[in-house]
Amino acid sequence: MESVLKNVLPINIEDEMRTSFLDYSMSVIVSRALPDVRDGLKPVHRRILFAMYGLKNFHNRPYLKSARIVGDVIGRYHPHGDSAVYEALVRLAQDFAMRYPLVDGQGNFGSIDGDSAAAMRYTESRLAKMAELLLADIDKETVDFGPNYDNKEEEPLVLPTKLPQLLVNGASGIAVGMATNIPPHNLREIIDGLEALIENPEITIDELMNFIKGPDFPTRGQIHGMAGIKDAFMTGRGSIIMRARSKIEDVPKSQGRERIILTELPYQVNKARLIERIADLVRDKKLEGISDLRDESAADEIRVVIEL
Amino acid sequence: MDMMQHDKISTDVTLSASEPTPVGHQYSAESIQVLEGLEAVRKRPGMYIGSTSTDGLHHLVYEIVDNSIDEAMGGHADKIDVTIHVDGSVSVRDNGRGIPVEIHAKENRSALEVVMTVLHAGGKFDDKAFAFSGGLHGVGASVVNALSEWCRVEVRSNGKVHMQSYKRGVPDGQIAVIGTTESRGTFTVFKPDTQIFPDTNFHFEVLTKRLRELAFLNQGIRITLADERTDQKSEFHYTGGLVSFCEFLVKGRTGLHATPVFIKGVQKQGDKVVAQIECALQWTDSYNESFFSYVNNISTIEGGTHVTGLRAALTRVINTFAENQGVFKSFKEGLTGDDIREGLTGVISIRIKNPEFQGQTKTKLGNTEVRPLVEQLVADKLTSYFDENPEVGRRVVQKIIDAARARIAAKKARELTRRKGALDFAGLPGKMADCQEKDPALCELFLVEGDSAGGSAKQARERRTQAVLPLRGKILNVEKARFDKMLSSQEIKLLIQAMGTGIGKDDFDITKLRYHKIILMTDADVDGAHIRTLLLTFFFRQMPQIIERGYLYIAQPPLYKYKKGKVERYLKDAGALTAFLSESGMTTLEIKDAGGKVLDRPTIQGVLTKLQRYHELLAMASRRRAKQIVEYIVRNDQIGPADFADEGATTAFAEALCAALKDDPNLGSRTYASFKVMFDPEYSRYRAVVETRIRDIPQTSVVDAGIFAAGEIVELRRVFKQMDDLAKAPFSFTQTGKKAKVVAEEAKPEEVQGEGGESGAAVTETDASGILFTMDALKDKIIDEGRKGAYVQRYKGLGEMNPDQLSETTMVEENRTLLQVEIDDAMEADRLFSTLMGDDVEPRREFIQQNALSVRNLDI
Repeated sequence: MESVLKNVLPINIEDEMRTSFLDYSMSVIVSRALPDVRDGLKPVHRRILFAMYGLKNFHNRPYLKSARIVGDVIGRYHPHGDSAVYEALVRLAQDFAMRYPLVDGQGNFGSIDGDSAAAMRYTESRLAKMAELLLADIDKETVDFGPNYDNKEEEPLVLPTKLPQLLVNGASGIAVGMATNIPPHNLREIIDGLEALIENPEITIDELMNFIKGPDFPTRGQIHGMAGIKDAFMTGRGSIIMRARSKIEDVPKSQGRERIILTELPYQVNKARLIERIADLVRDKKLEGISDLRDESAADEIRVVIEL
Repeated sequence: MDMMQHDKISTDVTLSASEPTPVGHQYSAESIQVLEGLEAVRKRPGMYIGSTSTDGLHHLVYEIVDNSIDEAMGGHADKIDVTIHVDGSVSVRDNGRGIPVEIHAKENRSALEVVMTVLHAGGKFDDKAFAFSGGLHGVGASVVNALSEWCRVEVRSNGKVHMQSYKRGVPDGQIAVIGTTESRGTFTVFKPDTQIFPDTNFHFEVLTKRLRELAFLNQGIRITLADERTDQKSEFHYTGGLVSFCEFLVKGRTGLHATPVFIKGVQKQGDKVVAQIECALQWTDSYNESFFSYVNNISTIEGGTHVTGLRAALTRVINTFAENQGVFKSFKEGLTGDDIREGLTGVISIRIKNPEFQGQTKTKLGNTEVRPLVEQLVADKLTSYFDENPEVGRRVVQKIIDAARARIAAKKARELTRRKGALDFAGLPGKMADCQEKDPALCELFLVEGDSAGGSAKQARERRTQAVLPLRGKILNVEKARFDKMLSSQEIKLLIQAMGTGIGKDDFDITKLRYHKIILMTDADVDGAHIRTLLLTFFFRQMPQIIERGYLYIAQPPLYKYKKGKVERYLKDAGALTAFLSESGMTTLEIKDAGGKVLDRPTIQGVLTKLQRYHELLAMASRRRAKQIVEYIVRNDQIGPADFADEGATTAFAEALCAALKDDPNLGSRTYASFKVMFDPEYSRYRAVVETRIRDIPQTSVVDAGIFAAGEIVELRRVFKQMDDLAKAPFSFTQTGKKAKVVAEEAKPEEVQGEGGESGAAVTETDASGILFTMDALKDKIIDEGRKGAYVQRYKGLGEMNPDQLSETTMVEENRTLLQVEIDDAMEADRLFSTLMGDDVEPRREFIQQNALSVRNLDI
């Protein structure tokens, strides 16, 4: 056992912890969990879009099997697990997650009830028309390219996006020691705001808010109070309180009984889980006066019925 | 650089003494005695400083610092600057009264000389001023002096700078006034003697730890520590004393109460203070205790009577308070000391007259009278604190009850794992591949990341002694989980079972450890780094003895893969890669030096090695001044201390320097340089302050005779000359080998124009032949050549290698390099783990922001 001492070097546990932790946390911060402010994309999303571009998988071409796209992403640019890449791809196609989806999906891409998408061998994808705005002119030396992980190919460090992608689609991510949560906004409002900014580079945030009123969520819903929006716009930090849109109807053929109908949910609320939670609260007698609870949603319409 | 011109001064003194020997003969009798006294120190250094190991070495610094602390405690000084110099010397500067320099009546020599050369001399034997002194403290500066190759003391007082220097304890000459000053204080610089200490390398961290402790324990002092070798700097200044200490320890956790409980008391005999007790305590939401104890500024790692007294008081007070609150009506199991101390952070510092130290490392206090003293004081003060702050008390008790519940739950869980373990210890079938050998001393366990690498590790291992345990995914962060939750994690359970030691304070038995080498083998990517931090956290928090005994290792898989045609090589790190590339680059290049002589490979290799050393030295010497200025001085070897002796010489030097910089074509036409010459009254010499802007980087450099004292210039000149002797630039190269001939025919030789730029620019290129103007360009060319046609890959996953490659590079005993994990500073490590892995996000973000630029491997 002593014979190996020659090949043993001491290392202080703190030094090892410091460098290893720093390597990990900085990598997660810089190139995993947080989006680039220029194109609003995390590396995995950028690589998905670029791989689809490489496959000529455009909006006016036939769909490709998602598995092919994922394979290309992993093999060429992103040396990580296939399920993580597929989940990222699926999210880009979900119209309840993205204000402006970047991928056009064919098949089961999950639902607002938290159902997951079909396996990648079943589903098919192609770039959404909107996503091609992110990639336009990429072949005209508009952006820097760098070597991929095995130095065999080149990949863009950022996309030459024409779309203010970070603002319109928002982003959220938890890194180490820091996190981000940017809500989506309305493209028209953002463009109006940008025009105003170009005309008057000195424009104040208050003035900009005449054009950009606040976030705009793909699931719609109501925002309660402007103060949170203003805080977020002025300081980068603010909490925005959201509520489902609802209406009250009379229950037909009953003597004046009423029911609440939810037609729009707050962003990223899982409908199935919401109903479960309400049911739990009723069962625990924390909520009273609810006699029945039904999910009548179908196709594009959300309809949660709470009978009183 | 405040390292002064050692040479110059000693010359002056020798002249003024005008004696063949440095010691005047009218003092000879006494001198001999002095020598005898200090000779004894040199003969048996261990008696005075403990040992000649690293501990003893650092003790030298503490001795000098302790003197300054005493000055500060007397209210005469408030600032101590400690500096580790490039040549391995250390200096300590305070702003106290300065050691007296007048002639000592009895000894008929300056008091300074007496202090520095006579054992047990000094002002500390005055009972009032320095009532409490611990252990080795007080043997003083003379011991440091005796054990130093050289030592110099400068005393600034009454407007004058007095200086005396010594060699191995013997004065170089009389004390002399060397300049005038407006400041005051003592400045001591010494270089430990390599004849005494096998290793004279000072560690920044070791000094940091001690100096920080001293700053905490001696409220209000400002201590700075600088390391000129690495440019690290720290400042320690705490106005809150032990309360600051406690807050420092708590950082990274959340306190259950806003500020630490501070307890202070003195014990008097008549009106004489015989004991002083200070203690700060704070409960936090963490699951670990972190507690530190001191007696007379000395850290008592093994505890002792003061710690037992404190613990007894805690148990008593908490139990009484909980009883009064009626807690035990619903919770009947009772509280243990461990429950009470879960998440407790605290410091106790006592000062007593005659401390007795016991235990293996003499760091356990033995004085029996201390225990009741501490117990009573703490019990009284803590009881009244809880009476005044009942809501804090309730919160603390709640936390303690939670801890007790978790302990009981964990015990059940543990019994469960143990029972299972006893029946089928091979309770890891399929999972783990055990080794055949049963003797733990011969066994190794590889903890491997993921099944994909686990598979090849199983095939690659030497099945007699090497066991492999693949761990799936990221294991639980035990810093954020309580004991019972930790035990419910599948991967952790596996890990514990594989160790065979059991887990928890009562159950853990290091003698049952089944492997004396536990080797973390994770991928060389950032997720591998993360898993490594998680595993280290587990071992540090749950099985620290494994680390303390040196059983924990980190494997070093190769970082690079080189591929050219059919040749495939794995290379350990960037250094190995460079060496390999230059080796293979040389095979296809023929290089001639300025004289047209063909250089053989060993010569080129020699030049490259020297070049690297040259750049390392240059980087060190260039920390505080422009690199180009240092290089100018190195290459013009007639420049010496004499060039700074008077204003004219200094001006001439600076003029020549600035002109040379402006004319240097390598630096570009926009180079700017100007200078001022100033007088330095403290050392009666001149300095040139040179302002430069080179490649748009503005810099101010101070050059004076001090630059020659640090030894780097001498060493740089030596290395530069060696390189120059081996081979003179400019070099010419031609490519050899089959392919080269074709290229060479097409290429026409080109005329060399002017003195070209640096490195790349200096290559007048055709691919096949050309001229290289500098050593750096030569090196770059060779490496480029080695890289040509080859495919170099930064290699990341263990699964990328075939089992035999993995075995050969990383696992087999003869070839591998292992890193043995050590804990140098348990306190600092404890804090670091809390910061990096704990619940509190803010300190973690701060850490990341402060260190963001020093990140080494960024995964993109």
